Amino acid sequence: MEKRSDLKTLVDDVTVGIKYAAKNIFTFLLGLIGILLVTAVFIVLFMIVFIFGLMLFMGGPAGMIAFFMSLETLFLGPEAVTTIGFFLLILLPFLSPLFVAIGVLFGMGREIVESEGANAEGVFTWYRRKFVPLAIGGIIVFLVVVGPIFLGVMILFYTGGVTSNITNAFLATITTLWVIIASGSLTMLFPSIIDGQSAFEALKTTLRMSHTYFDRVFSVWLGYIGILILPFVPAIFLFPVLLPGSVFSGISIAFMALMGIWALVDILIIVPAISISLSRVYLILSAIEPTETEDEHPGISFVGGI
Amino acid sequence: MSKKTKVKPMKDLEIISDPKTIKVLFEPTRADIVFKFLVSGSMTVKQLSDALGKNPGTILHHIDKLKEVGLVVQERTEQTVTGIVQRYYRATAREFRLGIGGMMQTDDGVAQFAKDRLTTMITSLSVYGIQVPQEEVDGAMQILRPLIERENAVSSNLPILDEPTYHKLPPSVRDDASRIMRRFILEEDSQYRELREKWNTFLRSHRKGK
Repeated sequence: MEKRSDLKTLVDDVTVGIKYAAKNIFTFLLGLIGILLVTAVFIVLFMIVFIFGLMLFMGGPAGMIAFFMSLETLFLGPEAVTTIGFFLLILLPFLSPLFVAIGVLFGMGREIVESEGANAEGVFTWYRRKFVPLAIGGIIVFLVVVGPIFLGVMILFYTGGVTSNITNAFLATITTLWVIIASGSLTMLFPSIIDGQSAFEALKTTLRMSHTYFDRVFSVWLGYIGILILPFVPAIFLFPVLLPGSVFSGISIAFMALMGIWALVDILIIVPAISISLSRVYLILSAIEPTETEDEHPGISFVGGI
Repeated sequence: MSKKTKVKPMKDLEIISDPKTIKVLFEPTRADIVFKFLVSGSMTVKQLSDALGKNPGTILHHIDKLKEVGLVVQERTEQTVTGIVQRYYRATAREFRLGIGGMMQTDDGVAQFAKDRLTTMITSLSVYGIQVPQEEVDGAMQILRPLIERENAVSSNLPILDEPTYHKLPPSVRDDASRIMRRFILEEDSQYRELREKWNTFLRSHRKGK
């Protein structure tokens, strides 16, 4: 099995992912619906616990309302960005069920890669057994990918912001590059966690794999980013021309409908295909050499307990 | 990661004395995976799932647990013509024995299982004409248990002086050679001989017609 990439390998990686995602479309759909419902329940429960805790600490509903009113000055004042960052950090654990839901997709992907099929109720087993490592993994991904961007925004905010278009374009390019490289480097994180590693071991594994097998890991990742986003690129340029109510409104509606269909394809097939392809690449990159010598006459024994 | 990752070859015998590992094996599906299938050869998750009638996700979770305690390892990975990538798993040893000492240290009924099993072993000797009355069963266990533990300790410590050649031997030849050597080192061990003679004396004295 080849661990390096070329065009044929990339096409195989993507084709296999899409093929098995399409074959298991209903399994993924049912599993996703189930997981999102559970996730929503968890998030609401966390929020309720948080609000009750806050009420107890603040001396009742009146105290809590006064506290939130006082935050207005912080959110609107000169410290606004820092305050937003601080609250995002506090809210992060509440978003962990969402990260687990994403990780669970990789559990289904792994089942499909190893056995050509999965069942919808299996997602709840992955959710239960891998909740903590997937939650930590998701927080790591969020902090690594989004954290530096937020820091950059804070620096810009406190240094008076950007004035020129060139600097804007430069910053937008740097941000996009960072998101692609950071997220690409972490693509093997969830498959490693599903494979039984802790979140921190999985972080080491994904960084090592994305460094050693840069071509394989990033070719698959960029391939899928292209599939996800490229169909929408024409819409960005044609949007001013194709606004509803203009001369082209019939075409614009048809165009919007096509975009809607592609968005659906993205959610139902491409996103599951990503989990399948990345799980597959992980299994290939983590493959080991066999050590057992072949037995010409297996099972034939001459000796018992002498 | 430019170095190639290799897994250690299969051992002949492994004595499991860690209570945590023993508890993992007390789950029936995991026990089947190890003792019925993976000690005999490597299998994929799909093959295990078909053989046991469980869904692949469940098998993967059990494999995870067994890997965690070091009873199962990934042997190799293969790609099929359909593009599926399958990992083959195998047990870390051809034969596993549960260490009685370790079992006696666990809770959740494992200790009781070990005691009941020893009792049944002793009373079932009646089919071979060895009659052990109920009141002497505890005494019999006091002789048999150290014998089994000594055999396990000696057998599992068979020194291999030429590892590279050993690992190149076909598995069936390795098995046969290992059995011959295990019997030899047991005969050489004075403590084992003493315990075995004590046990043999007990058996002789309880043979029917004596």
